[in-house]
Amino acid sequence: MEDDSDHLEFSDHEIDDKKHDKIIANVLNLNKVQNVKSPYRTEPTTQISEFNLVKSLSNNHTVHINELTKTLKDRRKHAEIVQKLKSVSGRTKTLLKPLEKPQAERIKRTLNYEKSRLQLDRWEALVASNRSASQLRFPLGSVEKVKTIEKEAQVYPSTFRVKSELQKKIEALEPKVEEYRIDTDEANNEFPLTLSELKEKRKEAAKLRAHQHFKEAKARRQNKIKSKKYHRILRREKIKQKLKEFEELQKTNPEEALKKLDDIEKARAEERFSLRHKGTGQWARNKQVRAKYDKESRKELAQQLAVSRELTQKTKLTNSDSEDEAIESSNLPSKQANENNPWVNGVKPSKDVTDFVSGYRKFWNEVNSNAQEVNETDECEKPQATPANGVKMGKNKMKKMERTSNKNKPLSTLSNKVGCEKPQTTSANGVKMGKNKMKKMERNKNANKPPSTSSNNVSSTSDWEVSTIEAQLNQPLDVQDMFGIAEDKLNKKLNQKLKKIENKPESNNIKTNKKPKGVKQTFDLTIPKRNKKQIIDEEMLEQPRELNHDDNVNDNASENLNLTALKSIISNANKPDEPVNINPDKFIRVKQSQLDTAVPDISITEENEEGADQRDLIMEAFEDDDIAVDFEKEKAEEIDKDTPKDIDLNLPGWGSWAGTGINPNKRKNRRFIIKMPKKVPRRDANKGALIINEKAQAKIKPLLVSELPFPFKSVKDYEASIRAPIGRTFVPEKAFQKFIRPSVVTKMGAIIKPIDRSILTGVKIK
Amino acid sequence: MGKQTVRYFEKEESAENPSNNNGTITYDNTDIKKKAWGRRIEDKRIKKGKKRIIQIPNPNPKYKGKVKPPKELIEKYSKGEGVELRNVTTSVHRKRIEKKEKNIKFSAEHAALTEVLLTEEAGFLEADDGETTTQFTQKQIAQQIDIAAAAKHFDLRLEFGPYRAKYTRNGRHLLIGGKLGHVAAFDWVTKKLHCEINVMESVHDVSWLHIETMFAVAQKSWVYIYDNQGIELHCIKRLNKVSRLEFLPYHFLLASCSDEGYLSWLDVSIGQLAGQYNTGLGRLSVLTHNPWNATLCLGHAKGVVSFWSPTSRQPLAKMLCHKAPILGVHVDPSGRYMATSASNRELKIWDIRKLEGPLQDYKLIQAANNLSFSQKKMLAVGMGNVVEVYKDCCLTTAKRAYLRHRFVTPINNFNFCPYEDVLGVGTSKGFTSLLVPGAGEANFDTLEANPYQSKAQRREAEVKSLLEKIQPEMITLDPTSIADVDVPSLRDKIEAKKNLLYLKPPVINYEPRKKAKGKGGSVKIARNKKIVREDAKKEFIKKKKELMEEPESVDAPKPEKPPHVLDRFLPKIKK
Repeated sequence: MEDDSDHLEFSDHEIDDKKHDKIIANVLNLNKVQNVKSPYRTEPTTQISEFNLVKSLSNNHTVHINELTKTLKDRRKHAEIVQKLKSVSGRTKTLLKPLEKPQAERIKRTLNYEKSRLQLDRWEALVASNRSASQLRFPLGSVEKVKTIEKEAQVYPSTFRVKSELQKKIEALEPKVEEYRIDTDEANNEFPLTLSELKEKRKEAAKLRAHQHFKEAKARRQNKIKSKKYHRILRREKIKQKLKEFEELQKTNPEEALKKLDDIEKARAEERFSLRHKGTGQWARNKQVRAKYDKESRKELAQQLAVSRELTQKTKLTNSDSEDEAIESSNLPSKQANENNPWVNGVKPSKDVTDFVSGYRKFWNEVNSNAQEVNETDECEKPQATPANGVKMGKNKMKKMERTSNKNKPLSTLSNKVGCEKPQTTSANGVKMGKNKMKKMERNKNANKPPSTSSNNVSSTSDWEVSTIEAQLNQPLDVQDMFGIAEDKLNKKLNQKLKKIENKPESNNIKTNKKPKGVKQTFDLTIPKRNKKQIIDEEMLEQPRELNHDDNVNDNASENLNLTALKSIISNANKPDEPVNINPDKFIRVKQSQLDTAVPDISITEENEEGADQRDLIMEAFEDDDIAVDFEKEKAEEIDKDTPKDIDLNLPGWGSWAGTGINPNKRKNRRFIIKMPKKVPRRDANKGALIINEKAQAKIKPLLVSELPFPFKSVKDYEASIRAPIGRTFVPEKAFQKFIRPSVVTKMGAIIKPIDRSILTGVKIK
Repeated sequence: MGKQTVRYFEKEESAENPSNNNGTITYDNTDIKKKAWGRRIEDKRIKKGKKRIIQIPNPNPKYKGKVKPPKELIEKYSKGEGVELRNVTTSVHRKRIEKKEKNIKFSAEHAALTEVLLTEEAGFLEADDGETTTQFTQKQIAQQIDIAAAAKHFDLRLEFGPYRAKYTRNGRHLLIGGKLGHVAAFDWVTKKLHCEINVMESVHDVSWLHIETMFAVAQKSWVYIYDNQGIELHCIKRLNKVSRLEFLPYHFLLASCSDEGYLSWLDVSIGQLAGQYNTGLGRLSVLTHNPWNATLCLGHAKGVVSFWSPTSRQPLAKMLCHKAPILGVHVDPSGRYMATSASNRELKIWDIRKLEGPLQDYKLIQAANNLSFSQKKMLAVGMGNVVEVYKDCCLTTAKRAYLRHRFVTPINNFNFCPYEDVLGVGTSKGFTSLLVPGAGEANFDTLEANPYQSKAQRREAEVKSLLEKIQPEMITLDPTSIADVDVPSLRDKIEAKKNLLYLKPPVINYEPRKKAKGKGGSVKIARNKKIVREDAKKEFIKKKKELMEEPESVDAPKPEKPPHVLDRFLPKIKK
């Protein structure tokens, strides 16, 4: 049917045979595998499709070259061609079939990976070194251009120094280091200029030079001009310019203008009195003009000149006069001084000294008048201090003494000058020495009178008596001084004796109820008591020095020995088992050594003295017992309190019958008891009489590092890494600088580019 | 024909001259190709423009390189063993740590080297044969020494009752306080008086604060702070009835103990109490501080010395030192030794770092009321009106006193002056400065304490010390513990376990997302919420149980005998 319809359709047109055949073939092959037909030639053509040729390879009807050449064999003419073909056919091989795409790509990938890995591996060393570097300087790889300069003849002498013996020795010890001076040469660092740039630069320089030359020439020329008129004009111009400026200034900045005005005025005044305008006035000029013909005017002029000369001369004269007078006046008083005082040769004493001398004289007079009242003058007072003040203080002192007269303690009068300022000048020193002498004299007078202190500090509320040894060592002594010192010493000794005598009853009063001066007596008492309690070992102890009463002691001890030994055995037997806590004191015992200290005259007892002694004795007798036991008890309690207790989570009656007469299941209960370790290690476990509070450490816990930071594997290592302080106060400055070196340093203004391959190839970056 | 091969040495030889042909070969190394990548480092020529230092061999081969300080000296400054590099992960970190270790080593060596600069030497007394140093009186010593040193021996006779005296940390200034209210501050070297006042109350103790312009005075009822003009700056009423004052310079803490048994720390930099506790141990009057760890040491009537820090209500440690009331406690400036004396005439030296001892046990003839260590570990012992100074009494047993001085009046307290060979003794009739040759540290560190401090330096030091102030929480028995890692101990684990019992499951606020209409009703949402919460709770309880059930078997099972062949014939034990 279809065929018919086709036929019908094509009936209108001319039916193409070829197409018709094709259609038929297609229809026939509908259900078959598509075959590529072997190509065949229909018509001779110049173009033969290569695809067709290839297709034909699969067939057996292929044309082989050998076969083709066979035909050429006979002819000599074709011999060469045959040869060539043979050689070609022998050599060539057919190419392998290309791989499948995924396979091919896989191979490509591996190859690429391998290649890029190698590329990256090149960086590895650099990256590792950069990462571990203590300091990195950016831009990386930039090397400053340096130029070494050998020690030149010019530089050398300045650097040379004569070496001392020590230096030479040190150098012999230390390795020699030869150094080159290394300078960075900045000039070479610049880019080389291009030709055009160079030319430009030279042109510019030439222009500059020409300009300079021109200016110089102009200035020289102007300087040479002698014309007054020119200069006048110049000056006027300048003045005008200045005036203009000034007017402008007045408008803008009146204050500044005022200043300027002042300056102008000043300049004018200076100009006026410079004598430059002496004969330039209108009057003078007129006279000068007339002088040629007029006698009078000539006279007047001469007179005027004379006057001016006189004026100038006179000023000179007055100057010289005043100087002379000054010299005379300075000489006069020196002469007067010479008359009075042969020692001071023409040197005027400074005002301080004169003041002091006069003040002192006044003071001395006053003191003399008040001699009965005041015994001594203030010694510690400064030389400049006014005398009246000193007296006042003395009076005050007296009042105070009266107020506190109950005590009425005699105190030694030592002459001392601690805190006194040293004399300022030599002359003052002399005066001061005199003063000292006077004082000593005064003291001699008062030697019989009862001594009292009067060393005052102006601001103080109390008496300070400072005794030092150095006081007189500085100053040269003369005979009178020596006498004074000797007397002083005598006085001192007397006073001390007096004091001792007066102190004795006092101290006796203090110690009335104590052993009278005989500490040894109590010692005798105490020692045997102590020995009674002694452990057997202790008797064999060596003492640094045999004491007087040792024989006694030993006797007592030997008597007591047996008894104590027995007692100790009994007590040991009665004792329960010792706690596990090992007391190192019990076997590692430091030998007690006797120190022969000095026996104090006065012992400090704060409260009632009588009780103290008694109490001491009792205390010593029972010393071991309660205190040690108490402490041990306390420690045991502390340990007990600190050991964790088992936690019982039982809820009675939960999950079983409850009530009276029902025994709870023990096994069941055990499941609800959380057990804690029986023993928790304590820091004071083996330390005897020591309690350490374990909980106190908890306060510092939040401040500690609680997690091990990255590169460390063990706590020990991490702790070792932070063991050393790096602060400036702990390590030397040089080390400190090493510790705090910045990890990254960037060059100011330099562009920091990302790292590139040139750093690997060693090409330097500019 | 190929290219004829030409050997470079052959060519060279021919070019040079015939004189060079006696067996030696010279190389022309003018232009050698650069080596391939990776071996470039070997190629020295690349390093152009580098500082070149040529080491000329040591002419004296006995000493190689720079002379190193002796090993013992380096050991003194070393900070202990370093990090074991094997245990550090990654080579980069290893290298970094290695570099740091090198720096630490360098710092120790350099510190040892700088000891050369410590040129001053401590003085001493030397007795001839048949003489002892004990017999030298102050007068004799003062006569023999130079004037400047002799001027340091002086005597102030004052009338206002028993005196207490304290030096500043640099040893330049002295503060004295008389029981009857007399307080004076002065530069004792130049004898320049800063101020002198009578507070018109009883004075119990005085103490300098961090600088010499301020000091605290414990008066009848409260503690007052004055400046060096004598102007009252503060009245601290919270420090009530204080008997002793101590200043902890690095913490800026003014520590005090009171008659009523209170112990308090006042932070003077911020003006707040860092801690105030009732010790419950009765009247406190024996107080000192340990400069090494800044703990306070209190001596009690029961022979116990207790150590305190402001963070803990209980003492950090208690040590039974004597079996009699303790009269004096002092810790040496390096914080190694503690000396205690008791009313039973004992004097003991303790190793305070380990809290062990006694290292030395002395019996005196009279009980010592006062103790004081000098910087060079000399111990001054005050008994009644006698003060004795012992040298080398900590590690070795002292036989006799180094120096002895007898006063007319009883001693109240004394202190060694830092950086000076001086012992300042406050007696009931004044103050005396005694010369004790070799007592003070001869070389001072001006960054630490500068006796010749100028005003500007003082200001600078004050600011710096304020910046470096240590917080009161860091006062512990072992100050180095701050550098430790907080590893939970068994005790902590137990505590954590205990706490676990009382932990509640976390509250979960689960808000289910809104679903389309009809998909999830309110009932469904509520159910979902419940499910999630219960799941979380179950999970929590499970975890808690797991934590609680740790292997409790502390005592390991007894090792059994290896089973015998004939064991099977034994009667079976029913379990």
